[in-house]
Amino acid sequence: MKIKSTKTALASAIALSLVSATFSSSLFAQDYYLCAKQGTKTMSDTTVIPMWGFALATDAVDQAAGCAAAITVPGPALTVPVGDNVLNIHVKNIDLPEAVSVIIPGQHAPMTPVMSAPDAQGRQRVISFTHVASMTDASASTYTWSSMQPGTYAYQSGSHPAVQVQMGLYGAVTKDAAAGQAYASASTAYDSEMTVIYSEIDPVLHTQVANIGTPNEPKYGSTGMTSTIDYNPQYFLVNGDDSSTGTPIAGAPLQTSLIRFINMGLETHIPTLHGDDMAIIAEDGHAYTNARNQYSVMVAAGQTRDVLFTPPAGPGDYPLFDRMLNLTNKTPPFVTAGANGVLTSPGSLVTVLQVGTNADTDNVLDHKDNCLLEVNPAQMDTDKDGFGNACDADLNNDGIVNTQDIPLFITAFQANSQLVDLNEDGVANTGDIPELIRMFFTEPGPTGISN
Amino acid sequence: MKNFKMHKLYIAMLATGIGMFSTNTIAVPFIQCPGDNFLSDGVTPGSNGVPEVVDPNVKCLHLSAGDGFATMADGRELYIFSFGDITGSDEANAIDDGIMFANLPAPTIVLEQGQEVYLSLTNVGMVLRPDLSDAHTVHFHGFPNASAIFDGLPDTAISINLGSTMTYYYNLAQPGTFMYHCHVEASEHMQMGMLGNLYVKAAQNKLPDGTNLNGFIHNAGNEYVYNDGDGSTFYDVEYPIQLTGMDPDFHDANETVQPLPFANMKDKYPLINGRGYPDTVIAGPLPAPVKNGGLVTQTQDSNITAVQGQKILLRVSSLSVTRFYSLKSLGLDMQVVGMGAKPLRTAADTANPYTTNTITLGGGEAIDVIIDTTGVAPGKYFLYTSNLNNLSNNTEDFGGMMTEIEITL
Amino acid sequence: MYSLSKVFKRASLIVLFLGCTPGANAAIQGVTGTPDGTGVTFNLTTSTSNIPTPDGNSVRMWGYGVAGSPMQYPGPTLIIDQGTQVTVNLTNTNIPMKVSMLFPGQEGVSATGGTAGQFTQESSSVLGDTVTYTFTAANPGTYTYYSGTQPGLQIEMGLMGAIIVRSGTADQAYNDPSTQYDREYLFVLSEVDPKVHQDVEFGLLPMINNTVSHSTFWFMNGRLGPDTFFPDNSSFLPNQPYGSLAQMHPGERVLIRVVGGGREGHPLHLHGNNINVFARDGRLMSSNGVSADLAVSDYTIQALPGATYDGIWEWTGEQLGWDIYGTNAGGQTHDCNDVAPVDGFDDVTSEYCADHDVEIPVVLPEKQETAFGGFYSGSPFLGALSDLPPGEGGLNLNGGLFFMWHSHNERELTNDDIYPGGMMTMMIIEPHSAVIDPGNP
Repeated sequence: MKIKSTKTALASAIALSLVSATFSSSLFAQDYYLCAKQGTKTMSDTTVIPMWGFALATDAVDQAAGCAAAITVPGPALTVPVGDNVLNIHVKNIDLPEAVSVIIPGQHAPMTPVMSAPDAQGRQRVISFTHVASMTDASASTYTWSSMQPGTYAYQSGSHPAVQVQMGLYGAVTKDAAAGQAYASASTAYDSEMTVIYSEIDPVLHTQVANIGTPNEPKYGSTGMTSTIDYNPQYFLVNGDDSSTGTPIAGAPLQTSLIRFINMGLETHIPTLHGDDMAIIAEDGHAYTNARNQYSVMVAAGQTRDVLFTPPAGPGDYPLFDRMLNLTNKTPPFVTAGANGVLTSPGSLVTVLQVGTNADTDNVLDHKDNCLLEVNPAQMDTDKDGFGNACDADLNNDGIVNTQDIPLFITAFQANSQLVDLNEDGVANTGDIPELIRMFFTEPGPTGISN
Repeated sequence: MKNFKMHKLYIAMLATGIGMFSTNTIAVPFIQCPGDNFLSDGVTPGSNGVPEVVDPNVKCLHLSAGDGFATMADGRELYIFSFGDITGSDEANAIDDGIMFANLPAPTIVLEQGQEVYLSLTNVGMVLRPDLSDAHTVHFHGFPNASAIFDGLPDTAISINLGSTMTYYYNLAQPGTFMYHCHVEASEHMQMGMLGNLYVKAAQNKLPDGTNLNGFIHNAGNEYVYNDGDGSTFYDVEYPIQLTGMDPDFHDANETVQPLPFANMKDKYPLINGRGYPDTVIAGPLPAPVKNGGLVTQTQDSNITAVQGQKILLRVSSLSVTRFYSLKSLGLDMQVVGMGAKPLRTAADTANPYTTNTITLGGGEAIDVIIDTTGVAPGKYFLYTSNLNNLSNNTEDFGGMMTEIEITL
Repeated sequence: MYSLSKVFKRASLIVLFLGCTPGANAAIQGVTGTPDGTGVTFNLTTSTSNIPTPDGNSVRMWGYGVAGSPMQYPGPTLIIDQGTQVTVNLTNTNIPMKVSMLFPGQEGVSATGGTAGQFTQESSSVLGDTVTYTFTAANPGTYTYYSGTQPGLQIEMGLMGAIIVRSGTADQAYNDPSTQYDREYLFVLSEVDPKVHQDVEFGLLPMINNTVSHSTFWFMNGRLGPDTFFPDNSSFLPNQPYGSLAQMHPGERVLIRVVGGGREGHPLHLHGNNINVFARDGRLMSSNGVSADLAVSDYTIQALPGATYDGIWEWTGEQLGWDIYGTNAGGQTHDCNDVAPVDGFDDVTSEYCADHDVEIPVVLPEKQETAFGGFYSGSPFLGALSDLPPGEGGLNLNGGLFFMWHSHNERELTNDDIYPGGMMTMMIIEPHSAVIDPGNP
């Protein structure tokens, strides 16, 4: 889950536009250099899925060399700075056996479709919605949008979309109308933003497509499936993750988060929020005249929808999951019976939006931070007393760190016990001694956890 | 309408072989149409569903309900049930003309607000399923303030038996995009293809030239989706776009008198107006299915064309029996102006459309979409399902629920 | 030929309930909780039971129930007044997993007791613990609740239900006069993939793959057609207390509350007329948050899972172009008195006066040429009964007009491969003379 504060977004946008200015074909154009390549994705059940995807090149030279970076699925998030009207995406097909391309539904650009040769009945079929980038091309193909509209969009392959989108050739492209404002209306202003991309994977389809051009059998299009009609998704992903362990911070109470939902799956998903409403402000990059207040928002296949989430006062957790209930992946056990009926779920298309303040900026919100004022994202609490190790050298739990704790520290230290891993780096070592000294004659804590 | 002469020859062939109909068991269809005084023999008054005394507010239609074949884009011919347009066929010949004349989609019915419609339905029977004596109906889907008797629901009224004719009456008080289908054994008859486009054009189209609609000047010939009072639903060209699908296993099971797979029903031929891509863009009728003895049964194309600057109205409806479909417009924005045969307007009666590139419809839903091509570069654009695996004609790739929009200068 | 009415007629109870219309379906059935000093408390349990299917089989379900009563599918409809502080005590009786509740659309829900789960506090049958959820029903409208524990499995198994929060104004759905109604009905839509339920019954819990849905049963208020037609609390459906048969008189404003209770979308098509949908997810469709000025009229509700919809449905038969009551000459003697207010309709019966005494414009087919529906009165006219051949009709005692309300993904009109059935019910337009329900005029 990508979270950026407006400031960071602005800074990175400025940085990017500075970088890209070097390569820009026009003064106010934003250029991105992408490589379309093969790659893999390892699922939470350790299955390795062949993928096709985009990798972000640092520049045209890196791109020509095949992109040092590996692909990501979803592809790199592309942003177009406020005020820039031109987006150029340069695509080099490194090793994909099919020609690829880039389209952005919702944005307008001249397109030159590639049609098949006429069949026996004289019929032609579209092979690609626009011009293509082939493995055999010496140079990159450029796709230009010269009147970029603000909003949330997906870029995706416009070639053989039934296969290539599923294989992973997509990503988010966004542009704001003004700094911290999604669309023309001031009512679309936000304090922070996040992009939530839903997708699905049919492992059989991926395997068969990956077999094209290899001796393996069966191959998509010949010895295996010859169409995608029997598509059968078995993994459901949020921002490319099928285990969705992330618990993103959706900002502070009363602050407004812009959530950009993008569905690159082939089926509808319905993110449903629990605990508050969302104001749906746009779909496919087109702002509504009036926001729609709902707790659930249908995001059709290939669609984008923008919502504003403004939590009420006070910290809280807001579960957000796909109400189509595509919430588990294909590999058993789906639920694991425990001693007293405790069961766990692998969980996908699930997240819990966290809302609260974050005094120590360690991304663990105050109301659940076991060291309110110490940066301890690991939240280790080896003695399980509610105080995180980073603020708890009170080893005898008498409420004060004093000389009585020193022998306990030494014993634990010699036993390599994590009890004295006070800097929460995973090991008890000399790095923890200054922490003990720092906390001497203080009380453990404070924590934000009640009780 | 079709070449009735050719057809009769074929039917004679088929019917003698099967021995289904003998001339004396079939009643003469009772085709009700005001002003129709057809003289079949030049002496005895009869009917052919075409008024000799023309009333512009009266519309007569005559549909057959029976079986036939339709060609999928991969060349496969599927056994279907559906309706055929036999309007003008006289009472002596209507049944013969309707046999094996199932159309896919069912004939597109275009009506005008203010008309009184007399729709006669003749059940001609299933030539390939002589064991079936199914009744049929027409369900005018979405008809406002409906009666039960003309609603076409077999459970709540009547349905017409094999060999007989029923005339439905509709007073068209409201415009909009509707649809129609048979409602008898709906899961089966609809999967088998008894589905068609039906829309009612707005009375506002007929306003005097120069009428001021709240600042929008109406010119003679202008057309609107609804009586909007402000020109907000004005369009230049219109196309019905009906989303359906077919499960080949179901159709084969029906043809071969096997148990029908309802639970496992899966539409592997996603269709627009009864065709998969690229047949969707073939202008005019498809060639006749071989198994249908040369009868042309797929006349409704989805070949959308417009001159730059024109507004294209898509009357999108879904009669899928199995699932929701999302439809995407690439490079062109869709303005949604109406749903369920009603304009999107606020309580204060101002137009309240919204713009998108994706619309999603379940069976029985309709959405009116206007695409404004002002400033749009000439060329080929695509309207396709974003449920991308449905870009397939069963096991054939590069097909399915897609069509093209050609913008010219 | 299969037909709905033939299947339906096999159930002998039919005449019983249609014969005694008063009380057939009163106001929306549900529970209102126990006053607890600060608000109301609902004591709910979860347990497992098998429910019958019309094909004679049964399906293992998990359900919520009122403590001391059988579990239900769907769970008990919680009916709450706006502004009330609500306490729900949930105790898991015998479901072999922890269970919980989520309340989408409610704000500030606190959960205590039990153990912390992925989304909220959960109750374990082994521990016998109770989880307490509290919230204030701040906004009127139609809502849902469902399990927040492995919801992909537990909602499929039946752990879901509806919540109605009543506005401060009687017979008004929201705090907007345009939502006034004369009568109301609730439809909770859901579905079942029997393989999952079988696996649960056989104790194969860890192996259940319900990553994607393969439903073959489609329910309305927890029942499969034609059981949907039977009255509330039918004794032979002990775990499915809620019927779906709707009745009204011409001219009435009927509030339709729809809850997407399962995991699939269903296009709910209303024969007879459009519905004016004015709220979604318990919020008015509004530009100003006050009035439902962005209401949308449609003949099909795109009912999505987890979402709720409220709309007003009306029917008068106006502009049919013929007298729906039949002509006086035809024996249906009636007036059309439009005095105050003058609105084109009879002041009492809501007959559309412009069509008064206009003959039906076509001759209907001879009886031997048609098949008759069991709900057909023998006459096209409202309030009229006419002779039918022996064995035909018989299910329409008042000469009402029946309109089917059903999923228009028509595959869903089957019960595990058997047509007809599934997600369907009827709205009966009853003649004004027929008493529907004195308790809910």
